[in-house]
Amino acid sequence: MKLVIGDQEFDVLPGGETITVGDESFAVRLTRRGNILTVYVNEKPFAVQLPEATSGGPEEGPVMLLVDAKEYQVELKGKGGGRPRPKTAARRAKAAGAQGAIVSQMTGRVIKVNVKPGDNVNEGDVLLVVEAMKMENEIAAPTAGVVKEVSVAAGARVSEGDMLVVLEPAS
Amino acid sequence: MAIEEKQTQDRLAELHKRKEKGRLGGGQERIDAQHKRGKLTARERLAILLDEGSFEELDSLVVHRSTEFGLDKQKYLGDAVVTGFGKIDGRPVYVFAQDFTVFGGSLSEAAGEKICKVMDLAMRNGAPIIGLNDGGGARIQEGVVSLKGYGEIFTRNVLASGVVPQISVIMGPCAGGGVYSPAITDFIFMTQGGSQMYITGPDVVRAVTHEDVTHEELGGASVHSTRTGIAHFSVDGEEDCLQEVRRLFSFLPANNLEDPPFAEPGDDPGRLCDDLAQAVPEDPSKPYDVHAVIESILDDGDFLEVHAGWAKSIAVGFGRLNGRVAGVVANNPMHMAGVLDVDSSRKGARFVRFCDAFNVPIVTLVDVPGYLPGTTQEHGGIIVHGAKLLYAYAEATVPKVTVILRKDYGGAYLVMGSKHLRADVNYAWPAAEIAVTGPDAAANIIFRREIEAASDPEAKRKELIEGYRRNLANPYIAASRGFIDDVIDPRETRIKVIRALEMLQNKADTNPRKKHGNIPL
Repeated sequence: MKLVIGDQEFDVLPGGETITVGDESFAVRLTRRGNILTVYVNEKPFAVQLPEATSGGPEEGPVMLLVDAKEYQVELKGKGGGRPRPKTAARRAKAAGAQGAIVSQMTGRVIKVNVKPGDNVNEGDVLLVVEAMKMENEIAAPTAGVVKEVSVAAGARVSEGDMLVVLEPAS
Repeated sequence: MAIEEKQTQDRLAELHKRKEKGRLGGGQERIDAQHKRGKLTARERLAILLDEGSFEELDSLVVHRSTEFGLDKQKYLGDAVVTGFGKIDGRPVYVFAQDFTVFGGSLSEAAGEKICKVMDLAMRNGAPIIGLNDGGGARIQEGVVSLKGYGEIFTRNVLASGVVPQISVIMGPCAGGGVYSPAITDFIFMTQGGSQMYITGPDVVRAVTHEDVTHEELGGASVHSTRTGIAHFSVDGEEDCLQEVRRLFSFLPANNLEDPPFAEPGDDPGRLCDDLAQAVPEDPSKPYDVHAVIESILDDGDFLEVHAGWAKSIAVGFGRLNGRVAGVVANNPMHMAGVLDVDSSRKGARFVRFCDAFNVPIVTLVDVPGYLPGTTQEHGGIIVHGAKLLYAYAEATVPKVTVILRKDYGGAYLVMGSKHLRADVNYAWPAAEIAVTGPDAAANIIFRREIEAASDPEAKRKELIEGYRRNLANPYIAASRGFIDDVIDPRETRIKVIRALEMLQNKADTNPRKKHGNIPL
């Protein structure tokens, strides 16, 4: 089947724990929390925000996916089942240096959440605290902006690469 | 007028004409285009980098020798690179600057020879070499002879490594073979937004992998200064970037036989650092920014950080202590708890090796919870990368002074400039915890049965953890063995480190004779 991202088409072949795009295969695994999907491509995590309506089956027509806080229009063409896996888009977003999505850098436990959606934050404000390596790691806002989403609650265990907060940078 | 006089005048006029033509590089039109892109020309850049009026150009009359594809009709004096020597703060330096206005700065055989000539001079005369890169790679029309040029530059980069400091400044495209010369050099600067480094550009990437990516996303300054660690410095604006190169230069010796330049200190070597009494939180689970400690200890708080945006759980950079240059390596609990991981180990190792190669004493500030556990790290090869840092410290024969600020556990204790890796003077602050593992984990392992058997296991656990912390997680056991030379008042850190370095000034330690070691690359 074909995956259309933006105006580009890719031949994709999903299978168990790998996905083949063109001639190249990638190891893929995912974890899902609510509408946030953490996709590990060759063990590199990408945070993907699914559209609210996604209920499980393949979508008809194009959908907008937020990959590491960057928007991509993705459409799956042809039969074959499986959900679209925005691998290439994710890699692209990663190369751009993801802005806005704040992911956990280490495996740990959220012990404090200081912000809620809609909050205005300044650069350097502590958004939440993740305990890891026996340290209360303060996760600070990389830029000033508005909190779009808080993906975790105090007490939650997080893995490396899990989405913590989505921040809309002030323009 | 005598005939001789007329001849002399004509000859001078001819010389001036040629020089004037050469100075324009690819012509006024291309210079204007370069300016329109917000960029300076090769000569304008050198004028900023070097002391005013100190630049002496070499090979300004060289032209390429290619005849294919009509190139014999397009010759520019000096070809696509400006080379020569000059001074920075009165100290000699050899330079080359690729000229984007001539064939897009591409490397011809002749341009390669020009660069090799100044590199040879730099090596023979023991002066640093700085290259300003702004070019599209090998000149395709010339074929393999332009590739040869790169190969000969690489060889010189390798031979000069550890002999004279080599600095690369990327101010435009730097692609293909062109990236490997900077990669071998000691420091890479990139201008933000104006420079890119990659092996293959977006067009080839798109053709081969169907991945759509911009120049900036693929290899811009932000990617290389935060994700790959290839750029040591990322600076906004060409002029500021070149000023930052001058600043780095002020910390570097001319070659591996000299000491780094002494600067008359404006700061008191006997200054107490009162702020350090409270700098580190008592609670070992609270983070703090180690930069405050570094700046408090160094002369005038002046710290030139290397790799400021990459692998931030360790901070490295240059500063001065009573006027003498020191390289600082410090775990930073503010980022990822200050762990050692793949990136921070590589960053630390490369810096320590630079310092050792160029006679820069190493001051290590330790607050490290250990190596980062997990599949990402293990499968990323943390064993080998972590070993690089260990190797670098153990191999280094420059003066090594270590101060343990707080936590120092397990393998990371050994790696971070411990006595066992030949550090010279090791101090610890009173709150230091030096042990195989933290009190929680240690108590859970040692006293598992006791805890299980207790009527109130939680209370027992707490009691045993506290007991472990009191009895073992302190600096005094290490000090009783002499692994720590002294436990010091944090406020006296600057004084103690300066005194230790003064005593080590004539240190002459050696490694066994060998061709070269085999660092786990």
